[in-house]
Amino acid sequence: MESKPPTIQVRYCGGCNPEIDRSALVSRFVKIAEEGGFRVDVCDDSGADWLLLVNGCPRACLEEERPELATARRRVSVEGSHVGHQPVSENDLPGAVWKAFNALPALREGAVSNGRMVNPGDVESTFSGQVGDAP
Amino acid sequence: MSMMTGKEYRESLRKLKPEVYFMGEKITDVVEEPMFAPHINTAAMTYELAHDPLHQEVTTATSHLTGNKINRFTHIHQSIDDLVKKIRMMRVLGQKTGTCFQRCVGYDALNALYAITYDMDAKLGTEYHERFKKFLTYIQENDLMSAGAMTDARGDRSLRPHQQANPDLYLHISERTDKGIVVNGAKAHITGAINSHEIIALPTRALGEEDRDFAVALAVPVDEPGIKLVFARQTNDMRRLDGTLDTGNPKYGSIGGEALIIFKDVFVPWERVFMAGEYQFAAPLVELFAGHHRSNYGGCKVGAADVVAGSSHWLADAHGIANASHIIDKLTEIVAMAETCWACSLACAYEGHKTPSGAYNINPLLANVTKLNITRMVYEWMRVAQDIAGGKIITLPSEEDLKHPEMGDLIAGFFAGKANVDVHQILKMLRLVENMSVGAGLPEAMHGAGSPAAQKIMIARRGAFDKKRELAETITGIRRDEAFERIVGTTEEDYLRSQQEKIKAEEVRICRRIIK
Repeated sequence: MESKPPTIQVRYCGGCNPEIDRSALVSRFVKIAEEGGFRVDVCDDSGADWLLLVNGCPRACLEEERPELATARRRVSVEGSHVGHQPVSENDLPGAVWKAFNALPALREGAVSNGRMVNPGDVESTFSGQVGDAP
Repeated sequence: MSMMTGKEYRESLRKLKPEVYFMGEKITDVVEEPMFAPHINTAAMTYELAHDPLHQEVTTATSHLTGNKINRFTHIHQSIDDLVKKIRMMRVLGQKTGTCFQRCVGYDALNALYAITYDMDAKLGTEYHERFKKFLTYIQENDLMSAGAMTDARGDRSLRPHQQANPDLYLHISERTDKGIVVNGAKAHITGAINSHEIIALPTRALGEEDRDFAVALAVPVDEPGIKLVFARQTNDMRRLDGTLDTGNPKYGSIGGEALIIFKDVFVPWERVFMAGEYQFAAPLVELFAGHHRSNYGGCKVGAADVVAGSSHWLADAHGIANASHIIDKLTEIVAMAETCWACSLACAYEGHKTPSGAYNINPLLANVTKLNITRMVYEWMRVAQDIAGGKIITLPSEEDLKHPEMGDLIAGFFAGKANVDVHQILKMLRLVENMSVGAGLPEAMHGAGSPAAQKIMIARRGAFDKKRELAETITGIRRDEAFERIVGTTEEDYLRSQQEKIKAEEVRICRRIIK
């Protein structure tokens, strides 16, 4: 049986006043992620292995107003020209996002359960020091 | 030490021995000086309300460093909620005093330094952030008031700091030793300086490599040797010595009680130095501080506007015209303008964001818009208050005449309003309107936290015109409109062509409609 590639689900903020081109970022990121063996899903809301929060500006509404997303441990968050609240130029964002995913311990250790749809809100104690945590 | 009360704050100032000058005299007792008393009372309110159950929800916070309950004026914003509560606290204090309570400048300096020292360390490998956190803990645990000191004397504005004939026109490092730095220069128009415990000095502008010695941020006790404070005059300030009526607001005064701070060979140990030569971080520090500070004005000034609206309504009522349609219209104008500014400041907070340090910053574009509105609207609502109060606010007789044993009652009788209103209360209220609308409060609203030009520079820089151009290009079809294409199920070009073909096919019918 063919195994499904692990999925990164993209969640966009409402886009009222974005400082970055959110769709261009995700388009470029999809290419990088697919080369790395991941599937990126912008439509499926049923859960995924990983979560990419795309906030158009540093206000980061997805994190400030959606606690279930803010506390998701397997997530990387873009906040305008920032990844995990660290400044990054818009051009470098896709690479920085990929780097941030790779910095997550579970991803690095290949701890993804292929084909398993996991609620990104699940908290797993082995996942610490993820991008997005305040220092 | 726990949080100080207002009374304890006043007493704490007695332990300090700052070198203060006013009207050609060296002032030896700051607390007992009648010219300073209203400003001290106002700052004391920031302490007192931290103990008041009616206001503690906004006037206190929990330190993220110690977990202790602290006065919010020493807190580092840890959330959007903290930013919102700060603005709410500002309004309450404006309402309680009708003037500037001074302590926000140091509060904003603390928050700006917290974030920028973190950024500096991350980029340059310096060790300012941990050093600053130790200082911050000291401030929080002792509940100290800090005077935020940013504005340099600046001399010839067309020259950069290192080009000035007199280097002291900008605060700068004169000497570096293994124990600390020696600084010289001055900071001008510094609010609350004479009645603060500490002075926190920051650079005033963007700096280049040649300005390295001017890139200095530090903290010194207000009575550090070499610190000299020259208290500023205000419009009608000597009325404080004439009694309690003519001065208008004898308890709390007018604006913040500003001073020139001169630094003459002041030694600052390294543990109190938070920037020393990192010129590339001067501009971010200035912008961060200014943003925090500009966002305040729709809180504090709106609190004062509440007082002005109240005094205007009171005076109209005392003269029997509270229900006149033109008065209601004018009072409504004051409230609408004030609440607009309130909305601006709240928006700064609600649209705030987390910084790399973990501390929260306001929305800088909205902060500059807020302050720009204040530079106009305070003048406007004070104009309306003067309109309602009438010319009496600048033609009233003096308190001395009103107290004259033979003439006093005769004079007062001519300022009476409705029969059931005490004329002396009317006179007090008129003087309050004069104090708030004629004196130093107006230019303070203009220039405090930076002049309108400074705000416009920041607004233009953050106006995102490139993104706005894209919006117009998408609507006009210069840029692809994907959402529209999904709606019509084809390309924009094909859709518009098919629409034109339909119109042509229906030409006769449509022409009939036009003829009708």
